[in-house]
Amino acid sequence: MNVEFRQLLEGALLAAAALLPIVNPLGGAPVFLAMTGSVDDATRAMLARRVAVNGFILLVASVLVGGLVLEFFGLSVPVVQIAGGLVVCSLAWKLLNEEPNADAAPVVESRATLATRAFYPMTLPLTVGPGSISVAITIGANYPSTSQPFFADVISSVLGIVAVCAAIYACFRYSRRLGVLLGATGTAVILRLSAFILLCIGVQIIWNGADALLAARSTLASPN
Amino acid sequence: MTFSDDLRQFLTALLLVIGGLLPIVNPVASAPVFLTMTRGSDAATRAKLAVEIAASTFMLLMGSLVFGAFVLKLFGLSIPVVQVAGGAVLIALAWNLLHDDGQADETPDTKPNPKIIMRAFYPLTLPVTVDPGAISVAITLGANHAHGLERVAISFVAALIGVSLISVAVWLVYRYAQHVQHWIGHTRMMVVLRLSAFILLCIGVQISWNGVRNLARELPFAMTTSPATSPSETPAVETK
Repeated sequence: MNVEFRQLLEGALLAAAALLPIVNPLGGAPVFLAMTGSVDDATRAMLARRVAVNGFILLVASVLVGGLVLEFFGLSVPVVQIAGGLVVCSLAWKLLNEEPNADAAPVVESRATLATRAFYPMTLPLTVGPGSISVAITIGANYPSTSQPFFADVISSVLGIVAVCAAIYACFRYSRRLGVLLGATGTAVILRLSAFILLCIGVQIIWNGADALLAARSTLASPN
Repeated sequence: MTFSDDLRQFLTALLLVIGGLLPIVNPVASAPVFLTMTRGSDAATRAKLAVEIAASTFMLLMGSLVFGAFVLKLFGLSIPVVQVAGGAVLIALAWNLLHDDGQADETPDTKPNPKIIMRAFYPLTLPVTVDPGAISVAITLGANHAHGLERVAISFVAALIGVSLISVAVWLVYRYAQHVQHWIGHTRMMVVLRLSAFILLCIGVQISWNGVRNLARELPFAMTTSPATSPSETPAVETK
């Protein structure tokens, strides 16, 4: 029992440690704040909760059936990385070149519009990007195939993902306070800097995919 | 550890920071771009902007020197990737500048434009003044860790002074760029601007190319040209 508990904890820690730096809720908080613009705190809390729940579902689904889905469509992880990296790049580019509208009247977006955006783009490439999804798929693909430990592995991964999503919720929920702390100029600086880092992350993900594809190709071409 | 040793190490580090960063930051080259992008602002706004840009430059360079390697590690990025992405940003900016029609500077605003102030960091500091090339140099300089507390402290002070000097240079050049503009005249200023925009475009292409070349070196079939490729540079995520 004790050994099993320790294994469970180790699995959860592994999943959290692998996902947390890539999901990076702290870095996503300024972007989330910019995208939610001028909504009131209640709506922002609602959105934060929704993004965290969406992220949870997406990550757990990637761990459990990600490999299966890829196999069904005949996709490989590098291809998902290239396509997803392109999406991240284009979003980062948009954020980077967005005109600052400090003096413009705040755009009032209805709760419904924002709620539809909670999944795309707020959850899907911004919070849980292609990098996180490919890590989650890898976690799922690395399970030993025997049936009994499989169940414990799933439980431990789910626990790890719960911790990651709790971090997402906390960071996004209190992003407003972070913004007040930084001030208007500070927020603008952090936002542009995060957008630039996001662009770099997108390029890195594309490169990781391209590198894996090219490596696979060259080993096929010249077996040594 | 004698005093003269410390002094020598300090001077070496200082020269490394200034010699490595000042030619890339090169405020004289980016001053025409600064003038064009702040077109329609009065002298007071430009003076305020010069201060803000110099302050942002200081923060950005110090941040890249001290935390750059850590941030890259945290997000799983490599310097070539930063060069590719940053070069692309610079190319887009220079392209817009090159095709920019030099009108609309007839009616200068009397009130300070809040929009312009919001642009002090991006795009005026981040790709125009401190380009991605400068950031990657700063990260590389910061990654050369000295051993021992005393040495680290000396390098830190040297970096602090070097970056301060560069920021002061940025401030001085941007602050007095306007006078040079008056002295040169509008037409010749436009010529200088197109030239700077074109050079900026070339710098962007060069930075991107440096990144692409370094990335291509990691590829397995490039092994014949560079046998030093380490197997540890395989992607972080592997298929099963």
